[in-house]
Amino acid sequence: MRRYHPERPALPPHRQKRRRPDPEARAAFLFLLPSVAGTALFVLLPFAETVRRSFFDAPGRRFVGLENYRSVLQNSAFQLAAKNTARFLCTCVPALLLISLLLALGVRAVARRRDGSSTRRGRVLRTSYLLPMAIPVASIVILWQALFAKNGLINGALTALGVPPVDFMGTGAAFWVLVATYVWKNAGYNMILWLAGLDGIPADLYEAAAVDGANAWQKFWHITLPNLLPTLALVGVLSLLNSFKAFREAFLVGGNYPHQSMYLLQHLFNNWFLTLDLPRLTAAAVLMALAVSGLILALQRLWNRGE
Amino acid sequence: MRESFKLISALLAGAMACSLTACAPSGGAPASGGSTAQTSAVSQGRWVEQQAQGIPQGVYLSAPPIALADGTLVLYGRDETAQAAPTLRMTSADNGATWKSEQTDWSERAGILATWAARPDGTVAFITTESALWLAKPDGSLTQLDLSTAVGGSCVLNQMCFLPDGTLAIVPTSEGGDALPGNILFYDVEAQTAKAWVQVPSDGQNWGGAGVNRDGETVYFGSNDIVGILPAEDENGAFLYYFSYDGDLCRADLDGTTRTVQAGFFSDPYTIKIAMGADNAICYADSTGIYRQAQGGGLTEQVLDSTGTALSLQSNYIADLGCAPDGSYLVVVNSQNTSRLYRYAFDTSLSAPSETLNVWSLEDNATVRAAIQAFTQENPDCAVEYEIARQQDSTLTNEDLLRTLNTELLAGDGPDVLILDGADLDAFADSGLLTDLSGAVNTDALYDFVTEDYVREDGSVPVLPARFSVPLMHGMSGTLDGVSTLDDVAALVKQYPPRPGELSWAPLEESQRYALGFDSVDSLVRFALQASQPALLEAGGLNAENLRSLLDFVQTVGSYYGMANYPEADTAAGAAGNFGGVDTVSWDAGMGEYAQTSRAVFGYGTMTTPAWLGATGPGLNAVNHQTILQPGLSRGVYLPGCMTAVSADSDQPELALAFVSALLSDPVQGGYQYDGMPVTRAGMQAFMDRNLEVMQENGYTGGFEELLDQLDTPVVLDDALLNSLTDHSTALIAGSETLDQAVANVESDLALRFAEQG
Repeated sequence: MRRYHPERPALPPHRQKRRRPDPEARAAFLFLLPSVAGTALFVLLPFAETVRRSFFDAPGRRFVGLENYRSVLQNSAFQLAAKNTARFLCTCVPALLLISLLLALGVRAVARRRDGSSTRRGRVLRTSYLLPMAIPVASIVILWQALFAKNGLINGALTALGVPPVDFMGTGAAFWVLVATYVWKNAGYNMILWLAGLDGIPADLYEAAAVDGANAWQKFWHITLPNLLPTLALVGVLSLLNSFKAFREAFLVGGNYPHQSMYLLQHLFNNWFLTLDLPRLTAAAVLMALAVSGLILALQRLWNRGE
Repeated sequence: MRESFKLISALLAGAMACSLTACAPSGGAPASGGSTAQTSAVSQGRWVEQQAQGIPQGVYLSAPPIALADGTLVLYGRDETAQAAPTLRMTSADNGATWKSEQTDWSERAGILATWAARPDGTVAFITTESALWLAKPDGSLTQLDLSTAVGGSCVLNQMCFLPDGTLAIVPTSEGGDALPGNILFYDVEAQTAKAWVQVPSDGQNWGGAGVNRDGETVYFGSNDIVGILPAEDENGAFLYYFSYDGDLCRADLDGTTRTVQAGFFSDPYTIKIAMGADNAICYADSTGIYRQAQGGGLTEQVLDSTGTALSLQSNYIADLGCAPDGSYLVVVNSQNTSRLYRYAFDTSLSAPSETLNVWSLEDNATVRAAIQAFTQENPDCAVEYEIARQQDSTLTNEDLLRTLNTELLAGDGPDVLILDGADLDAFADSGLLTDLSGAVNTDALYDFVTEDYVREDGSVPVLPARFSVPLMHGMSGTLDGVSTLDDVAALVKQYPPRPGELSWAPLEESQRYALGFDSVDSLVRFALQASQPALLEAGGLNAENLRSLLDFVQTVGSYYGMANYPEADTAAGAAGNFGGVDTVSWDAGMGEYAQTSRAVFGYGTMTTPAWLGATGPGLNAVNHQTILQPGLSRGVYLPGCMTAVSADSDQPELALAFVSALLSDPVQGGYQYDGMPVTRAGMQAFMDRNLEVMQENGYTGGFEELLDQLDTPVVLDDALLNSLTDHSTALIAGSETLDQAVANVESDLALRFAEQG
């Protein structure tokens, strides 16, 4: 039996409130659509195909499971290239971060007057450190050869000093030449990013710290660094991605098979592509993508923690 | 404001929609709703190659046809099948398509025809093989023209032509090095006097070549600064175009003056022939096609692409070019001492080819060009685009070019037919990108050693060579018995004096002759590697023991010869000629120093035609000479070439397979393109039919089939291995590396490559 509640008036049947589409969201979707479509077409779909091919044989017809991955991981060339690449990243990325941060701190110190206005000296320094980034790769290769060849300028100077010449490009020294070139080329760009991050730290914090009697190191450690964590994540990600471009110089100078210390993953991928070894190439690419994604996720966490 | 934004957005969207519809394919169902009507082929016309009919076999053509005033064409040639080599006069009334010939009495009255020139009135000036100049009038009279007064001595007459005003332009060359009054003589044949001499601006007369004859006298092979001449006229009268050895187009006038018309007109003047077109444009032909440029103009247009024509064949030499009154082109092509006349006419009744087949190779391949010609004749509706990846002035490496090819193939967009010389054949064969050729190939027609190595166990054929060559070694009969390894060769080398380093072709006394003509470390390494590579390469790396043996051989011979002190060579020694048969063979220093100049006791080289066996020793014959396969760490080595494959993603699979069939057809396989021997038995029979008689005249008594029976190991030289071996061999011979170091360094150079393959 249905109860009658006289206090409550009878209501018409419940009607779902219709949500009106948000025009801003729709506009955003439309603006993003070409970019998303392009990314899907030229990045995501090919990557999906790469992942698929990594589980198939050379013609792409027979499923082979994890056989390609096993073959890649057991391949001595891949092991060497991965080791070199990891060594390169672990050497040059921290070095680049540190050097570019020091450059940014130094430039900031000389670039501003007490009243906050910028100095000409600072502007010149900032531009100068950015110039290496504008130099084409081919010019850098010519510079390498002029400096580091067996009869290059550096060996000429060493010989003049009575020191035996060094085969820079034919020994393990080639690795350090590559690191130095990478750091030299990218330090200016990272310095700009650090400067932007430094500009974003409120000056009140430093004033308050000065009032509390903090010295320069304490200000740096307790104020500057913590506030730079988001910038560190950004600069770290960009440095990581730029580090893979060092392959260009190594390839132009050393060819398909440079000295073993300079043999990077891109050399291996390049050569496997040349020999149409697609199963291993795709498997190695997927492994590398997983590794880089993991690194970027870690940096992302760092960023979020900083915020 | 919001309304205006909407209006602008609508207009922009409409414009975008319009631009995108232009990308849609045209055509569709007609409004009537009936079936779509087939559009008929639009006659666009195309150039057709036709060999002129009616020219007897064995006639040597030394000049192009000339148009007479009545519109007919006249052509003179020397009948080399007859004993006295009579001169034939041939005429054509249909612009060179068909010819009638008649014999003249010139050879009896004047001598054997060397070259000739004609006027529109039928007057002919001709030069005999004794360098005598004669004038033949239309009434049949012959008059000898005495140039000695005009020339001031004796000379060789190289080129001549009649100017439009009837003046004879002659380009003589002095005999014996005496200077002439000029480079070009304008001669009045009626008055038999010189009109003018023209001295072209240059450093003086240049000799084409010089040598030492059997008497030890220096002999000059006369040449001149003038590579070609062309009669012309303008509003001021007749003049002569000529082009110099550096490709400049110049003009010489009857007043003796010269000037440059266009510098750098020809990039390679020695390979082109020129003629004046029916429309007074300057036309020229080379192996890439026929071109024209209007007089006074600066833009050259390609009239005819030679792909698929006789012009593109390596075996054909473009001897002359003429133009018929109807605008068609007549090209005299010489091949293996025979002349053929081809006519190229534009047929407007034919439609342009409706299909296209893309053929790709790293380098220009002569056999492929022959196959394109054969295929085009069988399939006139299919145009063949031959892409040669490595261009002359390209700075790209082979890896760059192969990377581009791989990208195209993986995208499903690559060429239809692939010629994979210089590429990693195993990688392509295992990639799944190639289709099975077994449907287009009659494996029974191939040599067994080809089928054994290139037909897989399941019967599929992913890649097949269309040519092969064989590395050989020669010596006097009995001297090579038991020589089968590199150690045997090294011992043989040490039995004779070392080879002097300086370049010389002067014969040596018997006691001074050295064993083998290794003129550089590169040639020594190639000799060793060619017959040893399979023994060096094993799964995952190099066989260290065999590598050590090879380097030991190189060190032994290189050190004995003192190769570390060899002077830097800026020219390569060699010779080419039909030494042993009809086909031309090319000799490097290895054979040249043995068979031509009597400096080496043994010879070595790579046989590309059976005619090679007709000249296997000094005296350029095969008498009392012995031939063995080149010794090495491997046995039965042969060098395959023209590695043919078809893309699995080809849009024209049937046509692509038809092309492969054309490549392996008897006419293509049986034709000699200087790049190797045929892989089919029928093709080889054609080679033997062509060469055997002359080979036997040279003393060949057999042994070719026995050599082929020993072949079972294909070798495609690995460039990386060759380069590494050459570098470390040089260091080894110079003493800057020990044998152990050289072995270790070669292994180190290639370690990464083998690691990648592992």
